[in-house]
Amino acid sequence: MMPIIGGVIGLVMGRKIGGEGSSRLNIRSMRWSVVMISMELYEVVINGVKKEVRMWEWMREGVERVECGVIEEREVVEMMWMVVVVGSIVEEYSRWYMKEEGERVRFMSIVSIFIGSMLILVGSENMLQMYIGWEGIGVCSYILISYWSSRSETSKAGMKAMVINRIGDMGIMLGIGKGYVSYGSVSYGVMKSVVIEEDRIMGIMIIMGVMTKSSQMGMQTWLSDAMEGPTPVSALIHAATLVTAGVYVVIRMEGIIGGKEIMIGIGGGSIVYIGMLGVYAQDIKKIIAYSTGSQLGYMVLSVGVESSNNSISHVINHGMVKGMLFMSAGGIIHSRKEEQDIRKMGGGVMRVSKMGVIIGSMGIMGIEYSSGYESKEEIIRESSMSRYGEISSELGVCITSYYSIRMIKRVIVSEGKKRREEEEEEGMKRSIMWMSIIGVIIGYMKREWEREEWEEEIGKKEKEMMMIGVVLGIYKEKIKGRRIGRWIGKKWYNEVWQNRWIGRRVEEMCREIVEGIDRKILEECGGKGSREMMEVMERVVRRRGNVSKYGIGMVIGIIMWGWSCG
Amino acid sequence: MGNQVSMPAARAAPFAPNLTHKQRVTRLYRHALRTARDWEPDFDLFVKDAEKIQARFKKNKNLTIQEGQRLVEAGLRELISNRHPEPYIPPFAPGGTAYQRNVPCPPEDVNDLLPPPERRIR
Repeated sequence: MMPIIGGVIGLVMGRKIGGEGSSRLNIRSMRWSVVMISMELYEVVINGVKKEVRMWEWMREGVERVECGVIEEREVVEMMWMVVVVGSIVEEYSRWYMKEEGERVRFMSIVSIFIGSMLILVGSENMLQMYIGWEGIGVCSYILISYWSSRSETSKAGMKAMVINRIGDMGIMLGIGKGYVSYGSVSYGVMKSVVIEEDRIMGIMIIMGVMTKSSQMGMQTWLSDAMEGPTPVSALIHAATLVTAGVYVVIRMEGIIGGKEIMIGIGGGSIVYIGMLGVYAQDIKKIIAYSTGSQLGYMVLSVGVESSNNSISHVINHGMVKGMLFMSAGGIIHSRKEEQDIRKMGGGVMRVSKMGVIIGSMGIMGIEYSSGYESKEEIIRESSMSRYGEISSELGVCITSYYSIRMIKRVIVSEGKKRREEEEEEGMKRSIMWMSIIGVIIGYMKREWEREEWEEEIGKKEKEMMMIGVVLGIYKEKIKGRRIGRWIGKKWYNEVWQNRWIGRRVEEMCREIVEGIDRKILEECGGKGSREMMEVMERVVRRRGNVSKYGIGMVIGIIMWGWSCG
Repeated sequence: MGNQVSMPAARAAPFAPNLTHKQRVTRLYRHALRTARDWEPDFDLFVKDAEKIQARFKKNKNLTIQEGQRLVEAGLRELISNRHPEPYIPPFAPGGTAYQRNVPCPPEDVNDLLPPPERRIR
């Protein structure tokens, strides 16, 4: 609750304490959260204690009680730790990145409230509390994406994120209802104890939520447009927290919901489908966004092949690495006066940001001893159970290496035109360095502690695909295929088809409803019709001199009769 | 011709109506160079493409108006087919990533700065 308390106080007292005061308040509340959750992490992960904190009873339906609280299992506490650590580092980063922006009070407070909502989602013991956190992060995401609301593209991007995520929200709501009907409860523990067979229909409904929130194939258009928001928003929300919420919910519901083959299909397809969009992207933030969508495909694929441990591990590693990548990109953008196109980058100083880009890209590619190596290797190994999963995960390695090397080449290696630029702020440098250190340490520790003997065959194939991607990224950066370029540049014509087949038809249907039912039938029966009827009655009554007196007498008589009966 | 395909406003200038022939040629040349720059980030390699484009325009310098217009039409079609899916637009230019980000609020007494109602353009 500390982040939410800090955010609400910041909003209420913002005028008095100002932007700087609000930033400090929110950063301090986040640091307290890091300390407290680190203590819980030690108890739960190291000492093996399992805790359940029940705060209050929300509702009761017969014997079924819904209680609000926090459950502290290993995966829950690890995820919470990642959320608060990334959140506190990003808030520190935001203090410097947004130093010259107006409305910092609103920004910092909403970021804190977002983190609080995410913690509610992660720590929930039942689906209803999870849904409160789910909606909270959706609303905060909309507010933060639309931060620069004077720009029309930004407002549209926020609206698009909200509208597309509503589809998933509807799926989650239906899933909650189906879960209650099937298992008689919304509590994860109760559902797991009574399950006989996994509920496939419930799984399909929950997968709708995963597809939209985690930006999987077909529903990924909102994520690239969400880069309209400030870079700290991208680092926190679109790398580490909101986009992983869908995957996390599915991991928590393992054993309850079915549809694993659907997850394999969607995850494997997203790895290639969304990864290819990064091949032609020129905006550095969009390249990283498409990379996020592709890596989320790995996580969904991993859940589909029943390897949830690896999935949660990759969620945590990826969150740290991607957050760092976004912050480093933000440092470069800030120093280059808001230039985001990689064709105009290159040269310059910005050592810390460039180091962050290199370390982050290594983690995403899965190079040995980097943060993302261990979890990604495990997922690729497990996905070899399914031929489709194996091919898509290996192709994904090649595509990831390609766009990562292309980005490093453009941003760091190439000699750009000499332009006026500034060195990054000290606060931003500190944040990037902290995130790098934590990410590298976690990657090394996981590699050493959880090392397994793998078949050499798998590791070798992955290395070959990585080398192909690296070589293509260095020597064949410019793929000038006109048709394929246009297809990918138009995001596989996703939006065009969605508008043509769904958007326009829904719009026509809504117009018919508004004009046919709302403006004709309801108005005639409602306000407009009543008004006309009263006017007619008034004209009739006025013509007959004594009718009004008879009417009043009748009304008085009815009231007196009613009074005498009562 | 340009309204049959989707392109950002920053690349639509050659397709504007009611241009003189000279305007169409100069706009076509400028946008051909910009399109080549979109595809080639390395300046050294871009210079080679730019020299080829310049040579093509210089070769057709002294033609009649009819032949020139025919070539301009062909050039515009080639420009459309070669367009980049994400052309470069400066951040603070219209269509750029930072355009209209922090628009200053109008002053409260803005009505004092406007001309009288009968002289305002509607």
